[in-house]
Amino acid sequence: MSIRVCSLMALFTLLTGCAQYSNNRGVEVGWQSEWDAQLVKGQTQRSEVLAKLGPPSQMVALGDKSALYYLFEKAKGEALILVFYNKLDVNTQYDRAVFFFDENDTLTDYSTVIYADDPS
Amino acid sequence: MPMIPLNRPRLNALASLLILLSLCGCTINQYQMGQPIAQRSGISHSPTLTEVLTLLGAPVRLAATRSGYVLAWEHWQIREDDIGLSLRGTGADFLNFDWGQARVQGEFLLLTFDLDDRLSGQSFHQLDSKLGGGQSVQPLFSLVPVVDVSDLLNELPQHTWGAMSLDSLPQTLNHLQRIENGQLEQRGTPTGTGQRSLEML
Repeated sequence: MSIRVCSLMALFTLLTGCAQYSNNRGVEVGWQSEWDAQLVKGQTQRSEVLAKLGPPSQMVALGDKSALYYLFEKAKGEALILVFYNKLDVNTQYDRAVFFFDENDTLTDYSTVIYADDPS
Repeated sequence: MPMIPLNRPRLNALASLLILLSLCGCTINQYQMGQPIAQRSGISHSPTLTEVLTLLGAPVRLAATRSGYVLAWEHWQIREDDIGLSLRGTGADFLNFDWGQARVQGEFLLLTFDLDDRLSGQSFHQLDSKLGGGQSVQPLFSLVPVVDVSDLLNELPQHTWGAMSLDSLPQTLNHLQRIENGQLEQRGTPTGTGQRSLEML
């Protein structure tokens, strides 16, 4: 009996596990502090933004106006696998920046949201 | 700590416990997407786009309309619980029983702007409800999940804006209604009716 119990316990130990992963998608927008000083509403042109940041995740036509949308999706997950109890936590954050341009392709408004990376 | 002698009754009890544990299990999946919309109450009656962006930051979704455009912010928390039980060793060892349910808490803020960049309307939706659930009795293995939240976990459509022209013909022909092309819809919106029904998904 003791061998069977030990075997079962060893089997359970072998079947348990944990996992951690991260998944990043999109255009990285981690340039907020560097760029804030260079963006001037009423002056900066759309071509300048495109030249500096590259192709956006999405470009939206707003009548004669337009908007560039940059999105960087960051997902982090942690999993605990104990066979009889399993837990998965996934946290997804959206770093993003949006730039609005008038009919002359001049910047009228912009905003950025960037979340600090969790050191853990 | 004193050692407990493993006599036969105790070994039997331990073996029974291990076998019992091997026959049942539970899984908890939790998903959080975005951050809570905290500053919504600060929106005045007719703020400009600049004031809204300063207050709320960049929107999560953006779409054009004939009279202007709409911006949306969202935050979702989804929890999925599953419990499974097998009857191995009882004579009915070909059956598996499963129970599952999912719950969602969310916020969705939609602001509409006119062509002069002034707020023309707003709508806020707060959600705290059961997404669904189910039970099953399945032979040998639990192959069919009783809860499915995958449609709520999709990536944002901005990622596929450039690739949408490579989709299948029904979807490509419906490009004017595609969320990847600057239209807007909430997570979990059924595709069998509404603006995407022509895609025949």
